[in-house]
Amino acid sequence: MVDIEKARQVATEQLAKGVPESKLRDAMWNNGYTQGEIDAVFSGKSQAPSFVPMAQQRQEVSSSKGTAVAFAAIIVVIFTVLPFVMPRPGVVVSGEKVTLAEIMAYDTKLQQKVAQEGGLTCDLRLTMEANGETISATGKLYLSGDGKERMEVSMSSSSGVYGSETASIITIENSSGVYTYHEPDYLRTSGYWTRDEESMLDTSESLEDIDYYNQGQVACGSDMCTKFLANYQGTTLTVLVRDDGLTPLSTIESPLESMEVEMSNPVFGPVDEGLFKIPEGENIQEANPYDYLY
Amino acid sequence: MKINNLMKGIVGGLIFTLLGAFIFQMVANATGYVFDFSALITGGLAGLGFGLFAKERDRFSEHVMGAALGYAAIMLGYFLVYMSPMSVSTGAFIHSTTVTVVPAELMSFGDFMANTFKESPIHALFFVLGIVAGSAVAWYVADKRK
Repeated sequence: MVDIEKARQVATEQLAKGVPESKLRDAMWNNGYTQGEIDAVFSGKSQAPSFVPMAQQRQEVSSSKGTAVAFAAIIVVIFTVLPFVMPRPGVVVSGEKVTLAEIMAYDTKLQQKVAQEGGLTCDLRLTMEANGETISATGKLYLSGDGKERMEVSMSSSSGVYGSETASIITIENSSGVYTYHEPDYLRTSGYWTRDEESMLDTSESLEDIDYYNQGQVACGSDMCTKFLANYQGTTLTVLVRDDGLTPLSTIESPLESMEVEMSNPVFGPVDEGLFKIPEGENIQEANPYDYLY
Repeated sequence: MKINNLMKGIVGGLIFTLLGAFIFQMVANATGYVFDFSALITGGLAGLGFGLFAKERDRFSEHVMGAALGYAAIMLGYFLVYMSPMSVSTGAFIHSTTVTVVPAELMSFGDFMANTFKESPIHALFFVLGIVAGSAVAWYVADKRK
């Protein structure tokens, strides 16, 4: 049994010397006094409550520390595991407009798929407007593991200018080096993309320009999204018509007024229409491609 | 520490954990940048919540719970940022543009945290400091209330 009176005497002396009660309580606690004994010393009671044996009290102190550790461990585990198991937002939601973030996520997944399988074929359906013509196109987009892409589409237009219902395969060259980024002048706040006619067929060009544009896109991590934008938001739609897949028979150039893309592929299935829609009357040569994203 | 008092501290700590995490997210969303010292404040807030509501003299429990709640608050803060749209400036100089992205749509949470720490290792340092702050504040506040 702890001598409460003696402890109180010592405590009183220490208090008289200016030692705070909390310090004394801590010191007693660290020296094995139970909570009841400490309270008894400072409350004037002659002895600690006797209904709880001291051994049991000390055991409770020990177990309470264990309880605190257990609760702390539970909290740490929950807040570690939870972020990893919470469902992520949907990447592509059918029937809704996609956002740039979704395109980026889509491109990332697409690139992973291309890297895994060495290539990917996507089904395409395009609807474009140029010079008042409505052009419909269906075809396939081939993505190769080396980052090059090629789109082959069958096209038809409302007046037949751009092809006929029975048009042969029309290839839109659509790969590295086709596009050149133009420095903006001092009056504009954003640059724009045009096609580089000389490198139109040179698919071995690097993506330096596009990569340059991409360097600041920390969230993208892929040049494919910019390629997407650049490919379809260029100033002029240039279509090479050829019958054997090698020799261009003719070149059709037309200001691209609007374009809607629907793509499906083994990664995500259908992607929404209206992915890249240019508002009517807009001068897309001076526009920031991001402005046209929903 | 008595279970009853411990539970009061945990409940108070979790309330402040949520508060700290929301502040963490709000600052990030408002500025488009995750400030490293936000972790310090968030962790400290969680510890403050425990210290205010727990009534005991068990220093060990105060430190352990404060650290755990500080960790929880910072993790939750990063998670809220990860799940919410953020305006991010991209490009350089006059080529720059602002896009709104949701990190959760682009990468896993593990990649998000790894990228965060990789881009700025000081974030990892402040993550640890935030845990220490939670532990220290929990003990200090509880000690002052004795």
